[in-house]
Amino acid sequence: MQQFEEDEDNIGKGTRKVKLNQEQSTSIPLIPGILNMIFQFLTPQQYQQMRLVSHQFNAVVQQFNKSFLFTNVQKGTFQQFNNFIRQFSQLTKIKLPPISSEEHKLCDEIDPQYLTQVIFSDFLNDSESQQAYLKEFFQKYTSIISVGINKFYSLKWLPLENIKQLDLSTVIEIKDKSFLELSKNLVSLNIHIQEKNNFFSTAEFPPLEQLKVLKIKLWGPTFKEEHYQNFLNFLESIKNLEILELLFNTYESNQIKQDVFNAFINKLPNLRILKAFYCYEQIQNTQFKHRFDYLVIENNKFIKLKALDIPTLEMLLAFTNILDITNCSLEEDNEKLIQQFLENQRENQSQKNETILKVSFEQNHIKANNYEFPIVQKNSNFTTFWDSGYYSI
Amino acid sequence: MKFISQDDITFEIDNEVLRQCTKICNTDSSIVKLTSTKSKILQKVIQYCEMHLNDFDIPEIQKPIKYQHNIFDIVSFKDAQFITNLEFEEIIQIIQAAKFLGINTLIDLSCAYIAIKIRGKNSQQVKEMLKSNKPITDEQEQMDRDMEIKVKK
Repeated sequence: MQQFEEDEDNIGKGTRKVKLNQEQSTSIPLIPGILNMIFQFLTPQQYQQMRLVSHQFNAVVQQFNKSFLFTNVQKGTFQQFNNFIRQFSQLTKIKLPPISSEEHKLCDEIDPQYLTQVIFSDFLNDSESQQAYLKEFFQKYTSIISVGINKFYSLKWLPLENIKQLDLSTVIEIKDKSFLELSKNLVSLNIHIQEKNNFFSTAEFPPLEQLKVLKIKLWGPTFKEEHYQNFLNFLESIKNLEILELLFNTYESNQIKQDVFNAFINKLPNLRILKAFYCYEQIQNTQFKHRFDYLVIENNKFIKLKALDIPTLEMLLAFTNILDITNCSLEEDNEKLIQQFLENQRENQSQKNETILKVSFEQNHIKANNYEFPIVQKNSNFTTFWDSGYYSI
Repeated sequence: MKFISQDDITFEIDNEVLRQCTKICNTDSSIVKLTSTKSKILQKVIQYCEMHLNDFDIPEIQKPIKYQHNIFDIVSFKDAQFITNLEFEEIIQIIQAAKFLGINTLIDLSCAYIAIKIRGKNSQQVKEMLKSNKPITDEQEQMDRDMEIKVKK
């Protein structure tokens, strides 16, 4: 595990160097521009893996050239669906419609080599035919490393050992957390934990040593006093986490307890990017602010801890598809560098299919220029759509 | 045309050799200073261009590279031999020099070779591959820094 050391003197100048550690300091630097050229020769699956590897070298590369198709298919239109997606043989990411019987299959012409991410929408795999479909699906599409679901009956039908990114954010009820046992290669987890999930009611959590990114939505009464130690065990199991997005549901005027918040910060020594919504008070009461490179609270209001610089931006972009840094303020010295960096992002062809960069540094004269959702086909049931950063690594 | 390296070594370049350098072959200037390229690297770049003196059409390397293919399967033997005899560190510097000069086939050759070497590797394995072979002493580091400052001035 690399340690990020910061040269405090250089932080304000936008020239912060993130060293790995002494032993690694003689590594040949991988420059993102060159990495992009190298990665053109990799298959999307290899590319995805290398992107995560290169992140660990602090040489984060950009989102690779992928197409994402969000589908919304009504009953009786599956033939149309298949005809439509036939034009995307190199599709890398797809949101599948609810599939109600085995006769509805994903178009066979999508190249299994390319398809790496899939989102199942309203897919209840509680019938034999659906389970058979899933089995066949994952046997064919072996490159898939990212899965998002909302209504799965059971997670055991997923090839969990291959999955690096799992989005369960819209699953209201996680009946069984045993899926974590097999998720040893998970890098990014997005999860919604409610009281009825009983997620913290038992003490055992398998170590998720690869997990770097956690987006967690917590509901107020989730933490019962007697479960607090179990919660700490959970944090122990994800001790290599680097990015945490903590969303606390405030309805019923609950507040996340200070000790719960502190535990997140205390138990995760490698955490360097924290997005903590509805936790303003708790953040104010902690002594840990100095630990973070980047900290966001409510509506992306930026608590300025350290100057927003390019290494941090690169890291954020590697894990976020929509980056809203509208309210960030910039150091005068690195404003130009960041502006140039963002311009390059916009010009980068490989980003245009998917990544949406939302920028508005009005005070600092950086033009607001949002990327429109790319529209593939408007006059039918099918449109492309990027529904926020939910499905981002 | 003359190329001058970072360490002030001058290389005389024939027009035939220059043909590969798409970014500078049509410039009027007779001297090109490569302020971030050391002579050792520039020599390799020129060697590559000389190797292809009579090649008017070097086939493009197909992307992505098939998993079962190695560098000898996708480029000519002489190119494969050229690139496999280089250290990783040299290749990275060659890419930078080739980018500056616009030698696209050399960029592709170098990038394809690195892609083959790093694909499927985990961070630890990549780290091992990217370790510089040269131990850097404080003195060398200072010399490098001095050189950088001199070049910037």
